[in-house]
Amino acid sequence: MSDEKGKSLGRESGKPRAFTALPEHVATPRPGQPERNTIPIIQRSKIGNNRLSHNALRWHVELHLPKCPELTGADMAIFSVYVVNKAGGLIYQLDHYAPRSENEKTFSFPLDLVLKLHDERVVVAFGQRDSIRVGHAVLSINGIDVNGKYTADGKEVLEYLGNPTNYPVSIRFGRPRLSSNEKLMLASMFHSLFAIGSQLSPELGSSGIEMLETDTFKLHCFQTLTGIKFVVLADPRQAGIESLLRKIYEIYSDFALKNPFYSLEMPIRCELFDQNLKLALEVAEKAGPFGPGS
Amino acid sequence: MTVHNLYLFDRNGICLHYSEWHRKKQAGISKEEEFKLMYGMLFSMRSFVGKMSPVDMKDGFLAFQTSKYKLHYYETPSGLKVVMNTDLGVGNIRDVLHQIYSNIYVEFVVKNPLCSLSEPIQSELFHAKLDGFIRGLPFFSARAG
Repeated sequence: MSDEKGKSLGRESGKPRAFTALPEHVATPRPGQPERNTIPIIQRSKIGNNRLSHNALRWHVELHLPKCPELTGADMAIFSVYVVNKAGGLIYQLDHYAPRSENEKTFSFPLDLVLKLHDERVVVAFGQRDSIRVGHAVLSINGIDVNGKYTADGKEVLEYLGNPTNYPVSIRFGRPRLSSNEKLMLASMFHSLFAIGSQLSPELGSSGIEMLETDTFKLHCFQTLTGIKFVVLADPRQAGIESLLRKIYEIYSDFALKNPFYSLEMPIRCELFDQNLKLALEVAEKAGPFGPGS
Repeated sequence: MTVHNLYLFDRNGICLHYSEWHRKKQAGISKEEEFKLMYGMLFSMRSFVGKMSPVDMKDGFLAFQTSKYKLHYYETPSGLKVVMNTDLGVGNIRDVLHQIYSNIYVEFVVKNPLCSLSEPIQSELFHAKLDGFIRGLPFFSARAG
């Protein structure tokens, strides 16, 4: 980025250069155009490399969000996007839509569910009933959130629930959210499974796993020639994911690879990449089960 | 449209049966290692899918496909795993795999007092019935590919 004289901005004296005025044509809707939601956003780009952090550049970004009265995101959804580098490490992750199944119920002593500590969380081991399934974790007790095996105010969950004087108690159960460590591990696991899928192939010249199907989601994967994998988890009925994967590749090459402060194979921390990715996901979701143009 | 091969695993990872019809590429490792790799991949796949799923699952992992083949998976509540590799033109064949379990495995292995359930299946009758069933499937063509 440089001004008219061709000097490179932000590097002259180490002071951050601030752009304070929005260009006119963006702020006001043009006459005759339908009214759009214009959200001007001023962002500071996060520069991963420490030695450049004194050169803070402010980037103007706006999002033009057209009004979508019939957004039927309830049925068709893209759940998340993962980008894995060629060593198998997770470099980007986005949870776009997370349908959470949670229930809160009041219990009296003794608890007819068996709870145990698993993976640093308190989960239901036995006693599935109503909508509380085995594997669901304790999310909150009496409205206070639970982190791991302790509540937010420091009490140990299993001890608290073992004491009859604390009852009746209201506990919220639900499917546990994945921590970032777990996501890292799952991304690496998929990287290996992808390779094994190619090795065990009964046909010559097979790629790795391109599509994985389960009854609740479909996982699509696109591996580029440089070994980067773009993984999208979506509803099984969602169509157009193949073109979405190509589009994400395009967004990656435009906003991450062309960003001079981004190092290859490192975690992607580029605002423009985030924003354009979210826009692309929304476009793909609106396309519905029959692909774009439906 | 064709079937490449079929594996049958028990709950402990022992390969009870393997047969192939059209297979152009071997895995490059011995059969024993291939069975262990396949079982390990499926085990990890199930755990991966369980963690990744946004909502609670009923059937779990169903199938995956690559650019050249599709792997179909069916697991019974007793832990028996039926794995079939076909080419890409085949859709959902969960019911076919279920039939392999209930009409062939249960009839000719479980009900056979001489067949031990935790060892590779030796019964010739089972092999013949399974082969006949697979060759009779609508998506099996005798020509390779």
